[in-house]
Amino acid sequence: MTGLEEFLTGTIRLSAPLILAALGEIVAQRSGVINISIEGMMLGGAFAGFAAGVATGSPAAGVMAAAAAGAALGSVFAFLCVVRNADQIVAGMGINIAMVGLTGALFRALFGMESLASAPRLEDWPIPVLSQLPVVGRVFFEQSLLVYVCGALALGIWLFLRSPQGLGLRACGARPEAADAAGVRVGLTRFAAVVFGGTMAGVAGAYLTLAQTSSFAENMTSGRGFIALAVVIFGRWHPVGAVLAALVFGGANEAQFWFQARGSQAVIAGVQVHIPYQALLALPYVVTLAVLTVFAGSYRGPRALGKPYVRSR
Amino acid sequence: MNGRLGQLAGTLAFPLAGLALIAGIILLGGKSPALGLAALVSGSLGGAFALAETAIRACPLLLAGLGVAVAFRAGVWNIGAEGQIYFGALAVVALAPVLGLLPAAAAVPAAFLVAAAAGGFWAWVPAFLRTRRGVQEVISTIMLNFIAIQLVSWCVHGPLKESSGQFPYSDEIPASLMLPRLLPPTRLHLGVLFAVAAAAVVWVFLFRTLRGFQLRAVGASPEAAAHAGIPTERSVWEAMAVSGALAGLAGAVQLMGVSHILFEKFSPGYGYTAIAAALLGGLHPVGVALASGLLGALEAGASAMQREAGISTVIVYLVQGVIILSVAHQAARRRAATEAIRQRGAQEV
Amino acid sequence: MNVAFGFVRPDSGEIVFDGRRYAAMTPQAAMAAGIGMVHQHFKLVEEFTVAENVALGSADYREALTPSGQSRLRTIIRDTGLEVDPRARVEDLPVGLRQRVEILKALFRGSRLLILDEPTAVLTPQETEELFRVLRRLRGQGTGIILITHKLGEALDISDRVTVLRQGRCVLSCPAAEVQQARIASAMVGRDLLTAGPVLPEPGDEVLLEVRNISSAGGDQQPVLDISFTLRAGEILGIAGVEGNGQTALADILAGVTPPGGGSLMLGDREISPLGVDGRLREGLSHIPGDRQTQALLLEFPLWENMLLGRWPLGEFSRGPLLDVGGLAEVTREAIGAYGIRGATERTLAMSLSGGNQQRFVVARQMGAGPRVVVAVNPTRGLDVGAIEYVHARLAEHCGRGGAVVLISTDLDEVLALSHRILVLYRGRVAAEYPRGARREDVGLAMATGRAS
Repeated sequence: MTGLEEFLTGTIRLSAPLILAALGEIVAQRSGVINISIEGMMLGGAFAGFAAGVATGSPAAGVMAAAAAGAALGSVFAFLCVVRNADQIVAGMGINIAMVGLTGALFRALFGMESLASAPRLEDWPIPVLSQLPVVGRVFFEQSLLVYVCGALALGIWLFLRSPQGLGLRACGARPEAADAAGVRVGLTRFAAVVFGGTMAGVAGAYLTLAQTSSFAENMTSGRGFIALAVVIFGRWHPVGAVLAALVFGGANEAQFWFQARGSQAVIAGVQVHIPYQALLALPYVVTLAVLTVFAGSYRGPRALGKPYVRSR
Repeated sequence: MNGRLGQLAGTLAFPLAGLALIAGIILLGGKSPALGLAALVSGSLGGAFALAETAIRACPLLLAGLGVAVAFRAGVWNIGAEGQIYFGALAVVALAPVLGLLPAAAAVPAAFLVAAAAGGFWAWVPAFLRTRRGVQEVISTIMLNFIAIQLVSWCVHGPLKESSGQFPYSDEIPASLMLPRLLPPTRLHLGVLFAVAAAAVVWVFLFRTLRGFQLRAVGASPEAAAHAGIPTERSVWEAMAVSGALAGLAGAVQLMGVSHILFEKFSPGYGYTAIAAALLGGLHPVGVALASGLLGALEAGASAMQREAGISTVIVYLVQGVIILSVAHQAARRRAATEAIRQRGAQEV
Repeated sequence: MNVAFGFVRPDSGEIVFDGRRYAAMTPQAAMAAGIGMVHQHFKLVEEFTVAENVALGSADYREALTPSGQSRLRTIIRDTGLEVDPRARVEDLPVGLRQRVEILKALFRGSRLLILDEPTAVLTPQETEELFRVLRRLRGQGTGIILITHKLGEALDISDRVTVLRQGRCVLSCPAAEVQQARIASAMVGRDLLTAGPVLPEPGDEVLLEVRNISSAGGDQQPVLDISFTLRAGEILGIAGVEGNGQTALADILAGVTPPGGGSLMLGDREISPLGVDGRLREGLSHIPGDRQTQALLLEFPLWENMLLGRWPLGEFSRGPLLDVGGLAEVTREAIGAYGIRGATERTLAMSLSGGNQQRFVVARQMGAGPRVVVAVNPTRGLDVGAIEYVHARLAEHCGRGGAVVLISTDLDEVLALSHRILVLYRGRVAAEYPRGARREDVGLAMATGRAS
């Protein structure tokens, strides 16, 4: 594998969980709910996937367990924020903090501290024919199933948002009064969207423990859930935009490993420059801020985002 | 779900479910919840040493939590306490060589000023972005958290790396900057008193000054504030400046009172826990103090719980999370009840 | 109409539509039955296209977005003359075209009855003509149309039948051909005044407030286009008009909430247009906002802090950097006593007071600032008779002491009872001026048509 192929492959691997989580969050946010607990739901999915994988020996079971965990957490959040209209930021924070404790404690209780339990790996599935293509073949078509799911899902969500049901969902996030007046069940739509978002976050977490590594560690998501939030915004709440934005973040992350392996040196215009890896890690956030600042208007997001909808008469 | 019993059931639903979950997990690990609880209590409240530990952990939560409370009361969602803590501590470490030249009596206040200014600056950026460019501060403050963490990481690996060049943390701060111990051999330091004093000052600011009242008015009803001639934008600036300054001070106090060095995981999420403390405390200085005390006690008791009952400290986060969710749920129910009253009032003829 | 369309449940009676009886409606049932409502404030999603908005309102989204559904939409557009591009985004469309989208929504759903709520309020005369052309065409195609409007000329122009509602009752219903504008206006405002109102002192010569050619800077409500008037000491100037003709914009400009786009405001010999609410209070202009709960009070705060809300610019309650809480409490208690707010103390939360008591408090607070000019916006909205009389008495008293009042109110009874002079506001301009004792019908007619009689 050439250096470039390695780099691209690694970028895609690192971007996959971000894409999965961001796609789910896009659906939730476009219905009008802001869920900052993707981090916690990802962590929950990571643990559930790990535990189920170890228990059954099947990575597929792990992914399903992770999805179920994400769905359950999504339901809790949806109950609090869509049914009871609790503050979405507060509830999101509560779940994040709770999940660090829940997964950490469960991990200790079930696996003990010296556990060397290793989850079954979600192997790469090379796609016949396509994976023989030069460069592109190895990079895109020799990945794990979940990566392919990313691509399919991005397409699927894009089509969904353009569909009639998608229209109703988008209306809930843009002008819930209009949606309500038109007969859309705003509460139900938002609830379903949030549960979907949670499920995706859970699956994203499973990717971490079943495809990327084979182990679980306390708080292993390390802020990826918040990066997924940035991806949603940077991608302008559009599934394809989110994929591209996630690749930027993934690329920066991969570049960090890249540079560290090469002593953090690089040659730019013939001059040897030392680039601290922290700059690369911080870059996506800086870029997000810059983009938000410059393009303030078009990065508003769904108009009713974060506001509970109560029919007022 | 009306009637007293229904109300009580609704209030207790989350806490009880959480409690059952926690006890269940402990049992699952073959440990005793009762023993754990006993250890938790004795580790946080049992004796001078335990109380000192509680106070030390509550200290940064209180300072940052006060800042969060001020911002939230003005309607500004400052989620950036974490980054402001880091930036405040960073500024003190960066200027430590200069500050160290001053005599102790002047060095500590000077360091506090530096930290407050730094934290205030880190909060000024999202305030600017909100008022001038309409960027939602929830997002910008979270972004700046990550940027601050990377900045500190780079500094302790690079320009601020300790003298022997071996370890990724800063040199120890000069002795004149270290906060004096109040009750040796406990670790109780002056910062705790400072935090309590800060709570009093914030109370006076919010409830006994015109600016504080105006800030609260803008947060409660921007429309009424506009009709009363209160400039909304100015309140946003002021709230963020105060909020960031307090968080910066939290970082400074933690640095100067406990760790004495700056390192990568300097703040294990204090900024976010402080938000929890502010919310649990009902955004009131006294409430924030109590909530910080509770959260600090949980963290202090957690290590005792690990030592004596074999229960991992990480479960404390689950306790915190359950508390926050319960409070959020309860607040939502109370809001719904108030709204019902308001609707009734609006239909009055 | 809210009952007919199902937003509100009636307490009694029934709705009979298309031969079927309903005890109560829901929006879904109304739409299914064939009733379509075009709201005054559009319920469109601005980021969506016309076709998407129409689809959102239809019974079956899927069908609406298919090629056959889209072709049905285009047919309707052609047949009714409601020309608009289905692929255009609503946010790019002017108001007149947005309204067409609302109407298309209803027609696409197969509405046999169209209810239009104040449709011409936001249209230019030209757009109104085009709308009427479409409505006539629809009528020819068998669609029933209910037009809710206060514009008598238009009503008679387009309608076959006219019905007048007043205070929740039907007071007139007859063919349009059989009735004149004057008769309608008379039915709209009723016959005689409830009371003669308080005795008002004679206004003096001193000009307290001079407003010259003020206009609005912008905004999304009816703007002030060009208004001028003078206000003398001891005078109550009433500004009457149907809601939506610029009252809010005018009130905000006078109070200092929004700066005027043009023109000048002279309070005595001082130009006050650059001043905000606080500056004007210091200069002697106080205002009583129109919506007490959202504009005049902080509901979750105690009364003594609400007192501070209205009076802080005067600086009476600052002792250095701190607030003189004792002084505030004292003043609040006095106001509570003086204005008869029973059962409350300075620590009572504003939301615990009844509407009448809340308004008494607001009036007490604003008058207590010792202003010379008071701008009162709908000061007795939602109050019982006793509270109304009380507020009116205080305003009259203020004039007796040499002050003056600008009374902006949509309650014609109030304006007639309390004003020395009456200006009728129509579409952002003064349409007519009447002295005290003017005939109710004349003022009502001017309010409805924008023309003096």
